[in-house]
Amino acid sequence: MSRLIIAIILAVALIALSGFSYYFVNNAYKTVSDNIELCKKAFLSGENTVNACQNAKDDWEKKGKILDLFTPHSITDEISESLARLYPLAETESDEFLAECAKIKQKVKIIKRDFQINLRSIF
Amino acid sequence: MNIILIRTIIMYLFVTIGIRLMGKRQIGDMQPNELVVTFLISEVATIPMQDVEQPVINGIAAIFVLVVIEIIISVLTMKSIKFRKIMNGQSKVIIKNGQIDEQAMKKVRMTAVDLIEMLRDRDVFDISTVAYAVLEVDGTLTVMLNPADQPATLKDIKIKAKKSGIQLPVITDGKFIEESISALGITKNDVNKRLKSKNKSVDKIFLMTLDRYGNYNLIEKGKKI
Repeated sequence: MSRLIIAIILAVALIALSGFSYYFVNNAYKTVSDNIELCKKAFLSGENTVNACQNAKDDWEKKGKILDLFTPHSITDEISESLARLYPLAETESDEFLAECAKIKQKVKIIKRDFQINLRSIF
Repeated sequence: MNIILIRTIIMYLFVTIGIRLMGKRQIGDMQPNELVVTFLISEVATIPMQDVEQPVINGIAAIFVLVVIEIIISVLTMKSIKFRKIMNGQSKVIIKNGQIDEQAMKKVRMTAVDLIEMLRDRDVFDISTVAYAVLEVDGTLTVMLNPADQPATLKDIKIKAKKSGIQLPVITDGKFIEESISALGITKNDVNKRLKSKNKSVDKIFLMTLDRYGNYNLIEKGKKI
């Protein structure tokens, strides 16, 4: 009986962990996407691009630490690298900035997609 | 390297906890589902140990999911006979009243040579002495010999048996084992009295076993049994 109680507690803990990770990944996706959109807007209008990039980087550093607990580290490292690359590009008028933004959004989308319960993720 | 060391320690602890939660069983005594879970746990544990890119929590979660499934299945197999049959299968009578059931052997894909080998493993060298042989779900063969071929017991030859119980180790390596002494309902003094009657001291004893009827065995350090 005690084993069954432990199993139930473990099951509840695992469901809670799963729910938390699902919520957190969705939340991180939304935050990063919104921040990247702000960066793009700032870049296109030519105002405060560096500040927008700094905000995006700061927010990511907070989220990334927890995301590392659930996702392969390589993908979170790639996002960190891409966000760091935005700074030098922010002061240029290169289209590479927008390409880098699209890359970051795509990578966060991949993390989110891998957490969605669907046939593709399962199989 | 450091990370692999730490991850290995973490995974070792969690695998040990997982296996302990599942309960004690030897590999050979495991039911099919227990064997599968044990293999899967060992396999799952190695992934985050070797690949530092993978979060440790993924491995731990997988281990505990397997443990939870295993515990739930073991509870269900205890409660439901039908479920037990589905999960573990059923034991099969291979020899009944001295007659080999070939159909049953075919069903479990057992050859005559397998049967002879399994009987030998049970110290049965003459198949004609077997009354019943049952292939258990864990793959072991339980054998019942014909009454005439069974070894004689003291009761059969009408000899009164000396009272004896389970001998517990009361001294090992010159030290008292408190749990055994209290389980036998005696004190250290009682053990010492026995040793004094043999002119021995505790520190010279490698092993002393004792049962509740006072039967004991003494092995001194550095001496033959």
